[in-house]
Amino acid sequence: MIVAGCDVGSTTGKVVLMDQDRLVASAIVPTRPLCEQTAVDAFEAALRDSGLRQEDIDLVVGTGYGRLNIPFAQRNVTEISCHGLGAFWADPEIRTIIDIGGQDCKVIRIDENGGVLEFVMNDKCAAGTGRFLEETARGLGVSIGDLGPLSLSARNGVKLSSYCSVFAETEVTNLLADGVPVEDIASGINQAIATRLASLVKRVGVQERVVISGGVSKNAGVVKGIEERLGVTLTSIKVDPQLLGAIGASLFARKAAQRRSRLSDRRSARRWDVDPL
Amino acid sequence: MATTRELEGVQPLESMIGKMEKTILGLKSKDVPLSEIAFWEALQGAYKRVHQANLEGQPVVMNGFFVPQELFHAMDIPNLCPENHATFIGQSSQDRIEQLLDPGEGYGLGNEVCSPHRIAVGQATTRQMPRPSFIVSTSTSCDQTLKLYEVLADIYEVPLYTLDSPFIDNEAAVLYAREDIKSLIHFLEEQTGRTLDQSRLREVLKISKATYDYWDKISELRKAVPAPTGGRQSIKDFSILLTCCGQEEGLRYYQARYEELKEKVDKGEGYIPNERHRVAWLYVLPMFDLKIADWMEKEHGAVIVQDSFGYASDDIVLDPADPINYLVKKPLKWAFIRQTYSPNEYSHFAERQAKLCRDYKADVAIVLAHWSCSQYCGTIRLLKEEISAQLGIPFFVLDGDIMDPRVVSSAQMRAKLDEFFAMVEASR
Amino acid sequence: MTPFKQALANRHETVLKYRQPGQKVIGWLCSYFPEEIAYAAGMYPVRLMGGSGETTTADAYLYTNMCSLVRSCLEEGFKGAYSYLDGFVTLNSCDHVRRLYDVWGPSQKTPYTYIIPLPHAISDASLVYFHHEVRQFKESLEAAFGVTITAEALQDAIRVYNKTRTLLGRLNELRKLEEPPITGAEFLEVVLAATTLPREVYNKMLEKFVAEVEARPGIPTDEKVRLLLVGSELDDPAYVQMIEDMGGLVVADDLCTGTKYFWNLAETDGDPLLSLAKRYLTRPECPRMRPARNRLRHLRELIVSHQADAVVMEVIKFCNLYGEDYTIVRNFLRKMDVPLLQLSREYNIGAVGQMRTRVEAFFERIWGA
Repeated sequence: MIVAGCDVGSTTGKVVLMDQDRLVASAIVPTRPLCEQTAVDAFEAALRDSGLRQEDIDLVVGTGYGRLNIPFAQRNVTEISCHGLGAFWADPEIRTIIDIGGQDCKVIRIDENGGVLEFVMNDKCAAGTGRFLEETARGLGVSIGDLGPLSLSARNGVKLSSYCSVFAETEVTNLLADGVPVEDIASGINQAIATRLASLVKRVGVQERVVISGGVSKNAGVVKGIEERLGVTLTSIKVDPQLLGAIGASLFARKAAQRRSRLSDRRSARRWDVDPL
Repeated sequence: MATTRELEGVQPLESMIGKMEKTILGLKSKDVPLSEIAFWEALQGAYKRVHQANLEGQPVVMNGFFVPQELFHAMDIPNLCPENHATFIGQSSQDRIEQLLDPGEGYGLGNEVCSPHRIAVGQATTRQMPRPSFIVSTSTSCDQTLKLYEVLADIYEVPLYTLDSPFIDNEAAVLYAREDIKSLIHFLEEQTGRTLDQSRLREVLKISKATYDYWDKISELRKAVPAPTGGRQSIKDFSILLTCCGQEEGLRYYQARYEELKEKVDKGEGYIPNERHRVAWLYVLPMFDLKIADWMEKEHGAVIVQDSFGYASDDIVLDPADPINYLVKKPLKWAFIRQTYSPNEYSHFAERQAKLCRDYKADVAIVLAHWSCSQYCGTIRLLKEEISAQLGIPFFVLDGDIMDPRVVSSAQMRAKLDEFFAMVEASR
Repeated sequence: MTPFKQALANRHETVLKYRQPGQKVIGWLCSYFPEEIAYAAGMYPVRLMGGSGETTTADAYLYTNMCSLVRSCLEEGFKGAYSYLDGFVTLNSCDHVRRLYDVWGPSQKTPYTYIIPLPHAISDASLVYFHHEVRQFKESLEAAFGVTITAEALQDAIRVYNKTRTLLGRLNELRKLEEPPITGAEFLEVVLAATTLPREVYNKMLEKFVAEVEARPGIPTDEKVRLLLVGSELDDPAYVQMIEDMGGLVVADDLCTGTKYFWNLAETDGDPLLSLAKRYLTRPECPRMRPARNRLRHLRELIVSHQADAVVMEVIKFCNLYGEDYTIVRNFLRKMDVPLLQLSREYNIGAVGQMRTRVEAFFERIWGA
């Protein structure tokens, strides 16, 4: 039984195909103006990758910011639950997930079955999200992807006075104009976001193992900053952390497909002619 | 029946009959009251008849307490009352009571179900009783009784006839009850292929009436001061009335019992040497510890002058000239059963229990609040109010279960009774 | 909030709001109660229900081993919540209700109380008898309140109540669909509201509601376990909701507060009292009634026509009629290979964790997890 999970976020759309517990194919695509388009792009990419057709997929569950607009999904589940279950699949020792998306960030604590215990979300402002990095990186004149490597060669990391991306961008431009080295500023940016995220985590309490997901998780400087502030070592997982939401969604799809199939078997095997009286 | 199904309950009944034989021989070799021997002979007789019919593949009926067993006696259908049977075996098995209760619970009955019922069901599922050909029950005395026989009929997969006991005493209800008895007779004839012989029925009713007359007289005698008999003996009276009323052996027991009690009363002899408390025991003794009655007598000089099950309704007169009417009215002789009837009867019930206390000159009233008996426990408050208002005697509620010592143990019960009697003594 | 939910959320206020000046309110318990008689007398029949919270006063009058429904009703009485009742009527349906009746009279200030004897058997003879008792009740009501209940008034009442039954029947039919447009919790709420609101008001609301529901999209049940819910008196839709939240849908029920309440119509010709006696005596039966065959046959019919996957039997602690019916129903369903879950509950929902786990585990067995 092959199922699929589709996670439509603000910056990327992801689809994974799973056969039982095994990942068969995955795809990450950039967002298009309409959620539907993003979803379809990702789905088609994954199908191409696996050589399967849409008819081969038993059930699709959608998640993420655009989950209600995925035309080929039969169900949808919150990204909180999906991230939780996806992280649990990747490593059953995981108990805390820090997800840093393009527009929001969240911290999820899960139990020994991958079920959500507590979570906190910040989707009101850019602080702690990819947007913060985007804007500060722009102010710095580098690409987001450079922030990590740059920060590692910082000599004296700068401390930004603001998490707010609106002010931070200006602050970064000013620092650059003052001749502060790019690496040091990059380090400051990463520390700022790490501090913000650490506060968020403390609101639900950290329990090891801890994993980071979302695009920002590729930034080594941010990762290190979080580790230092929480006093933990972040776990690395075997899959791209960006896929955790889609993986969780497909696991929900598998559960639903199994139930459906089992009920259907039961109902067709039913013999209503039995009359015990 | 014997050819298509394996015989059940053969060994247990054989063993019981054998034990009773030993008891009877033992008693005969001693100088004991005639009624003691008559009691065991009557009980053994009932079991022998069931056992024999079982072996021969003849019809056997399982019945509830208040079923008109006279019909069975008149049609030679041996009868076994599973509730009575359950209390009988339970009494002698306090130490291994789990073994008796567990099978019923394992079958699916909750632990709030009446303990004798759990035992009865356990006996059925473990095939310890002779398989009945059919079952006859009544909708009285409570919902649990109503359902017990349905459960048994379901386990055995045999036909069930439930008499719809009247809830109120009016003409239409009596007419309906009469139709019901006629319907039952038809059912019995259908099930057994036998015809109810009217003259045979009249003979049986004559014996039944004579037995009830003795019961009435014994009830009267028990009012004497000092009390001529105690609680434990009273249980025997009750048990015989339920199992073999209409059989010669049952009558012999009652006659002997009456004569013994009359002798005592004529001589002014009490059951115990020093009667300090006359107890109205409202409900029934804890069947797993009947010795508690002996203990009360010894420790506190407290004798049970009357109990709810021994108390006959003096306003019900049974007339065998109209057999159907006789059978309809018979259950009402038990004052106890009237509390399952309609509201007018209810207030009479509380009054009747107060009358019991007055008639028997009881100076304390004790209620065993049988944990599984919700409907009786629901009367306690109003009983207490009535008795306090009318007589002002101490009223004690003893929590416990009639068959399950794990709810409240013998030791705990005795400790509570010690406290109660100490308080009564202190206030005198 | 639907008008039904609103009516139930503030039951006592609802009654006081709709009570006409001088109109008598008759509280009743047990759905064998022939409501039409009270209605025909111009009275406002209201089902007695319990409240929330401890039942310490009631426990001292009844006993802690009586079912929590009657103790809760009595506690409401002691709190004064039922001070507006002009009458309290019930039947000898079960030991617990009987005792409630016995204690209610002496301990509450309700001016009129009556208990109608209900036969246990369903037969020609028992119908004759029950007809008599129904007539006795009607005459008692007339005498106590100085009213005359005419045959015409009874016929009219029957028509009004039959209308409710027909409408609720239509709603129930929709639950047979592969995608029923109504949940079990909502269905229970709608039926319960009938026993709190005045009948004409309710019928109007119901007519509108049924049309709305018929137009609604359905709830897919390809993944949900389709359930038949049976058991003790249940007047808490939240309880049904909890079961449904775990992945089921109650597509059928045999509850006295559910389909038993409206199942069969009363005949509109002939002697209306006989018609009522017949309608109430022969409606889908309580486990107190004999023969049990009818009841089991009805369960089978419900399972087949509503395509139920499984049965849930909820039993209030100490409820003897349902508690001891469990093994009989279980044995019957085993022969049909239909799974059965028994849940023990108190009248008021207490700790739900255990119950949720049991339901979930039961569903998982059916889902083959």
